[in-house]
Amino acid sequence: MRQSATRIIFWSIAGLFAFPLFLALRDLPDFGAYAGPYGDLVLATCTGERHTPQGVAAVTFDYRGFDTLGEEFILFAALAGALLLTRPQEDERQHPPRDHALDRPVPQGNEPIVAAGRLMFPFSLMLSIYIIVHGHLTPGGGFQGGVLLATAFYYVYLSGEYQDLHPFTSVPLLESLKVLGAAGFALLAASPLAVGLPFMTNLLPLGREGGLLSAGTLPLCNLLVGCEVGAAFLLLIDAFLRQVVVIGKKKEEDS
Amino acid sequence: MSELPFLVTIWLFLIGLYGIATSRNTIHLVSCLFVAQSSTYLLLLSVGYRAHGSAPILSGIPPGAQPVDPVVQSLALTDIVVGATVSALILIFALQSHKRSGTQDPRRTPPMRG
Amino acid sequence: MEQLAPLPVVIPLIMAALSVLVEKLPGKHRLLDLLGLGTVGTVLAIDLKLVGLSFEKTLVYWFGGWLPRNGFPLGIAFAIDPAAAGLAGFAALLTLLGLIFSWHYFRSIGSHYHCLMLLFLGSMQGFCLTGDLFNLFVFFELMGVAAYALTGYKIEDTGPLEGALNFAVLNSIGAFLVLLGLGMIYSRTGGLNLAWIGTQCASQGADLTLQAAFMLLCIGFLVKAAVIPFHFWLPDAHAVAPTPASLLFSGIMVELGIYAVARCYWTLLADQEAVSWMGTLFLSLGLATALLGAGMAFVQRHLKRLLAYSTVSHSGMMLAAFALADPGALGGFFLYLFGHGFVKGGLFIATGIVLHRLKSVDEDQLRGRGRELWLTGPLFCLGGLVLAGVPPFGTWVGKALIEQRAEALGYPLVTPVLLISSALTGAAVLRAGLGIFYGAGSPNFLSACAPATGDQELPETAKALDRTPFVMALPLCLLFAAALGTGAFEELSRRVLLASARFCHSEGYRLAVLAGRAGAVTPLPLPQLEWQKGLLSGAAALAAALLALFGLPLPAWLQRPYKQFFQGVLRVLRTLHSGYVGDYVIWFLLGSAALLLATWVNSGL
Repeated sequence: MRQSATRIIFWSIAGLFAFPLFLALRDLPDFGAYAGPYGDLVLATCTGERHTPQGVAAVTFDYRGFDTLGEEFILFAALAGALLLTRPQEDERQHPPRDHALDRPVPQGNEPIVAAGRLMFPFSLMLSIYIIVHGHLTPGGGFQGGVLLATAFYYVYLSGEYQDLHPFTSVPLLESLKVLGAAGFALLAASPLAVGLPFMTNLLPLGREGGLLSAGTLPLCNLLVGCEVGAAFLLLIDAFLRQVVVIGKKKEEDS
Repeated sequence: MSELPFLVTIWLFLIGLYGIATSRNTIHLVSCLFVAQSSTYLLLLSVGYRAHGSAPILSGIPPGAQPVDPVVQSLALTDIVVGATVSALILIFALQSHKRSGTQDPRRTPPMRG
Repeated sequence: MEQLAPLPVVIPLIMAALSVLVEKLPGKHRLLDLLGLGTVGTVLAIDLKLVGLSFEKTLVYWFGGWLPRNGFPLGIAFAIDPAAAGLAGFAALLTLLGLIFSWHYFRSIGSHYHCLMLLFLGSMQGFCLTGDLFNLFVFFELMGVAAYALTGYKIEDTGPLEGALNFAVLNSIGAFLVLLGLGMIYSRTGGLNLAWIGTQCASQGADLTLQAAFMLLCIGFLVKAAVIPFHFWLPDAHAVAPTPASLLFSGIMVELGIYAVARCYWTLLADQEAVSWMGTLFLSLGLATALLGAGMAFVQRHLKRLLAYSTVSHSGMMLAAFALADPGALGGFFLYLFGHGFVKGGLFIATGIVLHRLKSVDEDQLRGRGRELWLTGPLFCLGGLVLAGVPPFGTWVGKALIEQRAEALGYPLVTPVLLISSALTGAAVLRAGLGIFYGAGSPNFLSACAPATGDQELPETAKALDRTPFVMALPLCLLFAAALGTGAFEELSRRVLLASARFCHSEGYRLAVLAGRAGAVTPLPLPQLEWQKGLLSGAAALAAALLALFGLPLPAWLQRPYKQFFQGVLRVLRTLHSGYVGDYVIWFLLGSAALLLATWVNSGL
């Protein structure tokens, strides 16, 4: 009863919302008729002035690099929040990792799955590093590569057990990597201030276009961002897993 | 049918909101939030699209090709990262709240009313 | 000196990242406190310097050295006018006082609390200073993420987690609408710099698309500003956040939502005849919010929830001040923002002290138990009078200026609504204060049945002391002194009027950003303000508080219908504020639909 009433109310309001919004959207330039000028100006200058053929990377780390700094700190803030909110509480204690379903035997690892995990792990790791270091040349970059980097370790968990992942998620090391990524990126962006240039100026030599070390600070930015994103997503999965696998109510433990 | 991307944008936003409005599970709610957010990706990317355009990567594209707008792609990338981090945070709220109240149903444990 | 411009954002961000490392050191708590205070102090000093510089000329800072090419802004710019710098400085000052409050005693876990506070500060700085629409969105989200995490700080209880969830979901949906509006604007104008978009809007004319896009931006920011019907998340979140976070949320974050709407309005569309209808719309929204928030504040017994609803009410008043679309009224808005932020911060800190000393924030349970708080008690009650707007506090100057401009512009309804709602919020605080600290009267039938009691509130401090620590009393006194100073120094009001005249000068802003030229403006001279209305408002607040404490001397046959009427109204209101995020989303959609329909109807005129 309540469900269907909610549905009727919602969709009648939704119609009232959609109608004027659609009329407004319809007056935009037609789909496929992008008129510029921002994107065209970026593409007209990114190779000549920045030796960066990858337009998206040029926008992300150079033209609008300050947005990316903010974005990286959004990730940092979310992680700080996640770690704050998953702290062990007073009525909880850590116990050895165990399967949650106590009423069934722990299934043995399935060999094909373990094999697939072992195969995917080095492959994903390599691919992620490739994507990070080529971020200024080909599609990809620090964010995409960093997520893939963390995914490589997710394969370890998916094909194995929590204990298999645990050695990789040493919190002090990951925390340091995360700080290195975030603070390093911010300090790199701030370094031109020391010589009187604006924040975020692309200071390093631009190099030969298309080279692995070209486009100035872009490869370094990608590396630092990749570092932070990879570490952050590993810390996140670890925080979640610890909540369900390791930490339990004290009372439950005693009884 | 040049209105199609706009119609889909509105649809994604509304169906995501509908999911949140009727959700009985916080994890489902977070997924619905992500669906609503995908409407913004779609709108951003479609306003920067150029018919038969090439990727905005200038190495090795044929001369005379018209690349699409790289700016909106960069904005969408930022948007995606924001979406992922916010969802992670909300999932933590859901997890902790489940531990405290024993339910994932946002309609079963009202906080303070009035 | 323009090199200073990025520092208020960058310093807190870097320090937030490094604070994680400090956690490894011995004696970390004191070190973290010192690091936090040092950083915020530095930011405050830089902001004050920026205020001075921006009065001479609007500072425009192009990140990465990407100066405009042929008039098109390729990079991101900070455009720092006195209003932006002043607001950033205000945010830094409130953060400083919040950190002083949490010094040493606050049960902070690891480095995360300090880290999040610094990130929150950095995001507010960027939000104030930026001149780029997408950059505004990025800082909007950073501010959001830090705020959600701070809201859920006390995970030992479900209330904070539910509050943080509602906060995060509603604000995220608002952010989506900001992005949709941004996408539409980008498609039409091809740029993201506010000044550039403004020039493009001026040449294209504000048609339905641009007006709807602007309206989507406004909805997103009004969620943060907690305007009807987007306000539901605020009491759930502000009432459960730790005291320093509540101080910042109510004192500055909510108001930044209105600031963003005002910034977008004056940079994008203000010089278009076609959008003049929006003033009436925002004015009615603001006044309705002011009344509803005040009413809901009056019927609470949970102290922090009471203060949270009063923030809703005052946010509505500030939206009404913006809606007058007038430099003088905007000056009133800024003065009111300062005055309200200081006194609301003071009230939250007083509540924090009550929680610290008496282990509860429930008005009825605490009745008469606060007699020994000889400093907190009188200041809390004074806070009620200041919220009502008694002279010569900052709230009075702001409100008097707003009312004067409203009457001059032909909106006679504004004055009585502002009087009623500010008196009612003041009365709620006074009633609670007189009851708690002096044991006056008895629980009244309106608030006594409030479902949210405050006796389950978890303590924030590691150990309860039998005296108020100096570090808690200091920010309390400073905040009230600042609220007094805001109103007492006429020079400040003159400066604010100059700043708001610059703020409203769209053409000057665009010239400064795109061409680097300064435009001259003449501010409104500071008018003679009436103090009688302020006193009247204070007297009304006191009368309403006494009425609530001692009851109305009605004949017995009138008592029942009188109570039944109010209880009936109250039941409806309480049912609407259900606490379910699903219901809030439907309200959100209803509000957005109404605003978009209004845009469609009016854009054809």
